[in-house]
Amino acid sequence: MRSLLLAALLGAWLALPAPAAAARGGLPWVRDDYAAALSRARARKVPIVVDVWAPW
Amino acid sequence: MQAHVLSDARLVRQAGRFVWLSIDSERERNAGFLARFPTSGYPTFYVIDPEAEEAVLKWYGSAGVKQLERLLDDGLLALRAAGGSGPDQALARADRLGAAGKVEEAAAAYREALARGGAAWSRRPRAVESLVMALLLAERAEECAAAALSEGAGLAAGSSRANALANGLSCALDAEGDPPWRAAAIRKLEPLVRGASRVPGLLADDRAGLLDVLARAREQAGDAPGARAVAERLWRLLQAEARRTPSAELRASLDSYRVSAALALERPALAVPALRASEKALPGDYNPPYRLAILYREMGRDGDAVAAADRALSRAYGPRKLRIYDLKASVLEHQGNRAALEATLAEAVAYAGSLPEVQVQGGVRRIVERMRARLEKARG
Repeated sequence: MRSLLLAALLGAWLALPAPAAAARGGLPWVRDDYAAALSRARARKVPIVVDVWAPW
Repeated sequence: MQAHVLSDARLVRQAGRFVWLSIDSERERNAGFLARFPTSGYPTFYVIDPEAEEAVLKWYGSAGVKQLERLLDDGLLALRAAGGSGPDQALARADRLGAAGKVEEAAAAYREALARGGAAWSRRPRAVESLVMALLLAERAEECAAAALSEGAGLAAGSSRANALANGLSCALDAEGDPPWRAAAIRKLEPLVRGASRVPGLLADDRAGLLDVLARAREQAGDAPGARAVAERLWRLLQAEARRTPSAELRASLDSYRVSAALALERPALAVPALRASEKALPGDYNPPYRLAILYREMGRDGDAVAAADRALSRAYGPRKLRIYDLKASVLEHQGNRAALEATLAEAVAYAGSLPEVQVQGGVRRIVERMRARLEKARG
């Protein structure tokens, strides 16, 4: 089960080395929003890991 | 993969090194991403350089936690390595070529990395796995099977060896035109894959995938009892996994294998209780009722099959929905229910027309064309 990245956490998350969602036991996935992931990756200067999956 | 690995708490230590993006390939809003970063199968992992918007590593299939962590390291290596003559730099170049879809050039670069790295190179197992996959994707069937034998067989027991051998066997089984090298390659690879499938510690879906390839090999050989024995082994594995698995989601992740094993055993009813349990536990998921519809159709329970297909359609989205329409249409045709058949096909064709082009490719396009032809025929 993946943790959703809550929009409300975004501001704090950008500044943290380990995202708040991760501390709850999951990776902080951005769901179905490449533009948002790209913008966060550029801001943090880290690469993007993408899991392309199918629900079957 | 999502249920087995990506939720593992050990991956949390990787969180700050990347931005993590999950792309549901069936969602229309992801069509742009998929057009830019096309894939041939699921799951596929990418590591993307956000500045250049280029993939630097692409990985097909599942991976355990440790293997995934190594892939993440390799993604960073591919991002940073520029030039250099060591095996790691050659691997980085190969990964970038593979991620760019230049699979033939990637295969050559993986060979170069293996030659530079030698037998003791720590990245050798993954490089071999990637070499065989690149040759598979390049449709170089003979080289793919040969690399699995020459490079894969020499690896230490584990998932890389198992996957390289299984992909090599797949290349041989799928080679077109029965070329002269094929029979010998299958004869050598099949026992190696059989041995690899018994090694402890493999992911359940990896092991199930190996048994799937082995069953295909027995079917192609015309060995019905042998294929049945593999299907029985797969069924026992799935039962054991179900007993030891704590969550419905984890159990359901192997449901597709449950259906294929039950069908191979010609006992579709075997899988019905597990699929009904999955539907009850995961009420928003269209897969359990879709798979139940397949089982009911095979059991001749047409009414139950249509009802299950309708439940699946009410929850489904994306191109997969077309397969559910196709299944429902086949049952209605068998029932001789012409009015419902015509209505279903018309709905399916209209739905296909609403999807973006990138979602209606390959096998999905063929299904749509078949349904359109059936609709025209039904309308006289």
